[in-house]
Amino acid sequence: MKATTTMIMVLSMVMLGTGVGQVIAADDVWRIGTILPITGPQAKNGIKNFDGIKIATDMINDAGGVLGKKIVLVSADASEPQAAASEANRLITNEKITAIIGTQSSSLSMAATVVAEQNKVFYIENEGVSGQITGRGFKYIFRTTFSGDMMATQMVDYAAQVLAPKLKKTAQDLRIAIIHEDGGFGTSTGTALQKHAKSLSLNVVVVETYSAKTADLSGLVLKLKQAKPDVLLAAQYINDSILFHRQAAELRFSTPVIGTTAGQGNPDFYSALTKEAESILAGGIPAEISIERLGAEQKAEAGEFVKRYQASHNGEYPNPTSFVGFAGAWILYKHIMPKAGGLDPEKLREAALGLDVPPGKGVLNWGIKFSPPGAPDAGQNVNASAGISQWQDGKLKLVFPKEIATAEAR
Amino acid sequence: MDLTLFVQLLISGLLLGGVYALSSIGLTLIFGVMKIVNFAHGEFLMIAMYLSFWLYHLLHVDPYLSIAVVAPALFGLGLLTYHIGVRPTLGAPHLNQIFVMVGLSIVIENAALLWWSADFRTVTLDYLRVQIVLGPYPGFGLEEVIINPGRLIAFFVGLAISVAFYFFLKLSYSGKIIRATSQDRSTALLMGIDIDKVYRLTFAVGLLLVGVAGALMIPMFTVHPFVGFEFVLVMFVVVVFGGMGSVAGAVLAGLFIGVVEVFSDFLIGPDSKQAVYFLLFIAVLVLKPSGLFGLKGEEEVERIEAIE
Repeated sequence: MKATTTMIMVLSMVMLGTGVGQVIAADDVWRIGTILPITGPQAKNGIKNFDGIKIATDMINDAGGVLGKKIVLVSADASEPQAAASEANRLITNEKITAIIGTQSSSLSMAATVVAEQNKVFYIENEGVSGQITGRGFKYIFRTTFSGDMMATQMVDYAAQVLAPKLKKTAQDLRIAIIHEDGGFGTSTGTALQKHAKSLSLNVVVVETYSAKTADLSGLVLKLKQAKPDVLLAAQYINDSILFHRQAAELRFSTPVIGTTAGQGNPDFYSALTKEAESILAGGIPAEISIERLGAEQKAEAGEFVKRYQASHNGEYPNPTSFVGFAGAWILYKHIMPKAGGLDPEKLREAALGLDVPPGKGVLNWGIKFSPPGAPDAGQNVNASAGISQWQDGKLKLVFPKEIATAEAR
Repeated sequence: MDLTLFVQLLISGLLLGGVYALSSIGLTLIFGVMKIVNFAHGEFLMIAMYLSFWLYHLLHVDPYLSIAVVAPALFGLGLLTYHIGVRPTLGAPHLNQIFVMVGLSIVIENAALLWWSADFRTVTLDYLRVQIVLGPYPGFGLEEVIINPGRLIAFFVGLAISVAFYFFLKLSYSGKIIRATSQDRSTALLMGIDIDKVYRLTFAVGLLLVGVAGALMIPMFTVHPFVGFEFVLVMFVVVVFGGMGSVAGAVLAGLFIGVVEVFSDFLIGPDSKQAVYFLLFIAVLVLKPSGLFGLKGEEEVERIEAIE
C-alpha cells in the first residue's frame, strides 16, 4: 500500500514537473498546437504530416516570423480518437492554446474538433477528408485540404471524361465497379463515389464492401471479373490494396483501377507491386506541384518547401501527406494570422472567412476560400482541389484535372 | 455458377486455408499441451515475417532459404520467452497467464513500431509471378484455372509439417512425453516425466513452427507491426474449430475456413465472410464443444500448482 502511495506521489510530481517545464514566456512567441498520430498504426503518415508543418514553421520563422514574433509548436500525439479529444483538452486547458493544426485522419479529427468547437478554439484540419468533419455546422473548424466528396467527384469525372473516350465509349456506356473497405474512410468515400456517379447517371454495375483486415480477396476479384467493368473505383488502404492488386494480377483481372492516396497512391504500394503498379491511378492529394501555374511568390515558396524537404529526406520528393501538412500550416501563418493580427480565435475566424484567394495564388496547387457558416460544408476550403495521379515509370505523376496536370495520362 | 468458377474458388479457398493451417499449427500445439493461450502468437508471426524480410532486404537471402535462420531464431526466442514470461506463471491463476501473454503482445507490437516504423514492407519475388495454369480441359467443360505458386508452396509445406509432426508425436520419445503431458499432466508428473522440459520444448517448437510460417508468408503478405492482429483471430478460430491440440484438426479446420471464406466472399459478399465462418464456429462449439477433432475434456483447463 505504502509503495503504491509513494509511486502515485512520485508520478504526480513528475507530471506536474513536466507541465511546469513546458510553460514558456508566452508573450514573445506565437504558440500553436498540433495534434497528430506520432505513434500507433497511423504514425507513418502522422510523422510525414508533421514534417510538412515543421518545414512551414521553420520557413516562416527564418523569414522573421508572423507580425514580428516567432512561431512555437506545442505538439501532441494522438493515436486514437479518445487520445485526440483528451490531447485537444490538454492543449486548450493546460497550455492555453487558441489555435490548433491537425489531425491527419478523419476519425481522430472527428474527436478533436468537437473539443475545439466547444471551447471556441480555432482549428485547422489539414488532411482528414470525411464529409462529416465540415458537415456538422461547426464555426471554428476549417479544413484547408479537399473533402472526400471533392476527391470522389474527381475520381468519377476522370472515368467519365478521360477514360471513356480512351475506351471509345460514351460516359453513360462505361461500366463502373466500386469497391471500398468497410471502415469510416472507405464507407464515406464509397458513398460519395456512388452519389456522384448517380448524379451523372453513369452505369454502376457492382458495389462491394470488405474488411481491410482480410488475408484474401480472391472471391472479390472473381466476382468483379464476372461483372466485366470498364473501370474500377477503389477506396482502399495500403495493405488491402497491395493484396487486391496481387490477386487481381494473378487471376487476370486487368480493368483500369482508380484508387486513392490512402492505398494505390502510397509509395509502399509501388515498391510492393512495381510492374503491376504501372499506370494505376490514385485520386486524392495531387502528387506534384504544378509550378508553372503558380504566381512568382508561390513559386518561390513551393521551391523552398521542396528544397528543405529534400535536404532532410535524402533528396526524396515530398510525400503527399507532407504537402497537406505544409499547406495547412502555411495558410494559417501566411494568410490568416497576419489578417487576424494574432491568435484570437474570433479574429482568426473572421480573417479566414474573409479570404478569397484563387488557385495558384494560395499555397501549392490550391487557392483559399472557406465555405461560410450555414453552408452544408461550412469551413471547407472550396478552392482546394484533389487530383488524379498515375504511376508512370515508378513516379507518381499528376494527370488530372487538366488545369494542374503535370503529365499526360496513359 | 459454372464449373470453372467453382473449381477456381475451391482452389483459392484451399490455398488460403493452407496459409491459415500453417500459421495455426504452433498455436494449437502450445494450446493443447500447455493449456496456455498464447495471445502473442500473432506477434511472433510478425517477428518471423520481419526477420525473413530483413534477411531478404539486407542480405538478399531468398525467403524460402531464410527458414534455416528464422526457424531456429524463433526456437531460441521461444526458449527465452518461456523462461522469462511463461514459466513463472505456470502455477499462477489463468488470468495472470493471460495478462502476461497479452502484455507481451503489446510490448512486441510497440517495439516493432519503434524499431521498424509503421511502414508496410513487402518482398516481391519474380519467380513467384509465374502462374501455374491448369487446363483448359474441354472434356470436363473446364477452362483455365489459375494457381498461385507462393500459396501452393505454403500449402504443401503446411501439409508436410503436419504429417511429420504427427509421426514425431506418435513415434518419438519426445513426442510420447509431449502427448502424455497433454493428456494428463498430473499422471505424467507421477511417471517421472520432466514437465518443465516438455513445456520448454513445446513452447519453443510452437514458435519454431510459426517461424516457418512467417518465412513462407512474407512473399505473399505485407508485414507491418500490426500484421499479427490480422491473422490471430482466424488462427484462434482454426485452433478451437479443429480441436485444441490436434494438429490434424487444425489443418482440416484451416482448409475448411479458407474454403468457406472464399465461397461466402463470392456468393454472399466480402463484407459478410467473417460473419459466415463465425456462425459456423458458434454452431460447432454448441454441438461439439471440444472442436471437430478434440478429445472430450480437452477444453477443460486444468491447472497445476507449481512445476517444481
